[in-house]
Amino acid sequence: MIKMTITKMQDNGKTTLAVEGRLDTTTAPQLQEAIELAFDEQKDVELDFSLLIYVSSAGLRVLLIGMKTAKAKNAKFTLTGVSTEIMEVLEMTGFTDMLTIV
Amino acid sequence: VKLRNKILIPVALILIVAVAMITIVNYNIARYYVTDMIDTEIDAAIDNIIAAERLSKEITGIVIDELNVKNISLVRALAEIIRLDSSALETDEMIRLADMLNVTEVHVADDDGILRHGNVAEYFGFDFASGNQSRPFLKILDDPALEIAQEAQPNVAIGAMFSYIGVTRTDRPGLVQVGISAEILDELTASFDIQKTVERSRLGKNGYMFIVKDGIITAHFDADMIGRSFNPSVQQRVSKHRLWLTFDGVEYYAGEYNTNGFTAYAVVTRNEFFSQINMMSTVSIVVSTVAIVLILLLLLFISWRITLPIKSLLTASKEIARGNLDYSIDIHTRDEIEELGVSVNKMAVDLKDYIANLQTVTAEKERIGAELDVATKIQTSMLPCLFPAFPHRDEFDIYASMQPAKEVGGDFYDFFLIDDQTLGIVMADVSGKGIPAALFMVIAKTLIKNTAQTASFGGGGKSPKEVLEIVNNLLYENNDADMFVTVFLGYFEIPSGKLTYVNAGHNPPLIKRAGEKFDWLKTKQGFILGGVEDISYTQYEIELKAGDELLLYTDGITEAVNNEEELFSEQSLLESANKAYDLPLKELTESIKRDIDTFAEGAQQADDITMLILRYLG
Repeated sequence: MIKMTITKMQDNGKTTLAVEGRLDTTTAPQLQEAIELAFDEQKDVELDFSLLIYVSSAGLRVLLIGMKTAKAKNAKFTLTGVSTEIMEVLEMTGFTDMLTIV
Repeated sequence: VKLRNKILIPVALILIVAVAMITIVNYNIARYYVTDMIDTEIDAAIDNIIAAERLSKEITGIVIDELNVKNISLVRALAEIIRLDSSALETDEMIRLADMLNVTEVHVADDDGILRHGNVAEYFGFDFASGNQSRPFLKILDDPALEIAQEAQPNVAIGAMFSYIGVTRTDRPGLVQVGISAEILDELTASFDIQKTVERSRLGKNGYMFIVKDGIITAHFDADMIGRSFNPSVQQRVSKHRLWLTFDGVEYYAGEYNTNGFTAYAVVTRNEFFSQINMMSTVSIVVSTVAIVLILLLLLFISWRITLPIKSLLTASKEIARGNLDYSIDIHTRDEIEELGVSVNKMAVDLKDYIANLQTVTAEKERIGAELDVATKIQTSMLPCLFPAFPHRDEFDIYASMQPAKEVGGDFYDFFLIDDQTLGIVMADVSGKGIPAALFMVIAKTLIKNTAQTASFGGGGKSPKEVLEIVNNLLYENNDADMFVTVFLGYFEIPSGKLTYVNAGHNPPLIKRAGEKFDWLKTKQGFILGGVEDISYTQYEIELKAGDELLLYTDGITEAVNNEEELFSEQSLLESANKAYDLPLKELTESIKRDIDTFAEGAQQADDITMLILRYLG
């Protein structure tokens, strides 16, 4: 069973990673790798969470890493399409104040 | 042994079929060959008979021609004797001359063709014109130059077979004639008898010839058969001159040839005909059988050479399967079997290495597992676990529990007196699992408790907001692993019931007012601890009355999963807590845990399940 798939789109200095499925301990390293690669290739990174159904603390750690990388590179790290369920988790952990959520 | 049979049985079957086919083909070839051979013999024998018959006729003709010439000379001499001496015409003289000349009859006729003189007196006066046999001689009277030598035929007088020769008289007109008995001619031609040729002709071992004329056997290999009538029953006619016939109860293969008024037969008995074919077939069967036996022996040898190393391979694999990994085989067949042997040897060595390696790895895993168990125990033992925790305080009751997941996690709770009037309560969850989470948890717990207690030591007193801001920066430094911890930190002022708290990214607590049900204590959440430097937290205050309860927990409860990967959810927690709200604290936590277990349907617990309940007694 594929727990998470990432679809990558690039355009004009920004990489969009559409994340589908569950972002947990087992899938988080995959997204972390994709985010690090995206920051190497392009300036800004955007995560499309439209099809994300769950995020665990390991997933939040990946968002934290993304945030830190963006800050170090002075780049933009944004989230789009965040569902109500995911938004609840982000609000609970205070990520809504730290991330750019469109 | 089975492999050998697999090779031998099909080959043997193929060979047997091949031999059967060869035998059938061979039989037909043998039959064709034998028939051809016998046919050749039959043709030769019949040719021989026909040739002999023709030769005999030719020779007889020559002899008769020669004889006629001599006899004519003889008759001329007789006529001359009569001219010289007429007394020779006396009957007695005639008899004497006939004996002397060795002829049967002597006749002298006058110019009227009337017999006047001779050695047989009763013929005197016979008119030559009166008989068919004698009449042709009258031509001599008209043409004295004519000489007549007649073929043997019945004479006029008695019908006996006679050959007559006649010429003109030289003393006066008339004719002189002598008669020679055919018996003399028969004696002359006897040496050319067909019977002798037939007796000399043999076909194969027992084949022979015979001649049939007008249905009567006239010549036969067995002279006793001559004169018997020949009435065979024809079984099958093979061709114009070949047939199968039965005579006297014996079946023969026969050659039949009609010529010059007789039929020549050359016959071979059926038994001989087929015994020759069988003999030829038998030879080929014997040769084929010997060849089969030789081929099978060769195959036996080949299969032995193949199966012998396979047997040693079998032995080797059995030994290796039994665990004898030091077993090694030695095959030098310079073929695939040898390669297989080398592979088996390599496999044994590899297996040995692998097992040794596996043992090392297993030992290593066991060691790590044991160490993780110790880590879990250390982690658990760091949490206050003696209840009642504050037996001398009757203003509040507190109970907490943590049920660790299989893998060591990062949940922790804590409660401690900051001063005589203030109880600090902590519920926290470190991101991730395993040893890193456990280590981070130890640091976080220690920092929070120390910071909270040290702060008050100076007398100035630090609020939960200040404590977490300090700890956040402490955790942020040297946090290469990018770990973080969600923390609920509350200061409970016992006399007043005032609760000052900061929620740094942790699950919102449940609060139950006296006489009411549990509900969420939802306020603006702060950011997690250890993620970002210099965070400013907001702290909130609420007032607890006697009988109020505060339930803290971690996401191990709300995110517990069942086999369908469904989450237990905040709603279920709320319902579960309200179901057992009036129970003592310990029983309340146990009831919630039971509900989670029921929900999980035996699915493995993924995260620590941690709860803390504070009840204010006033």
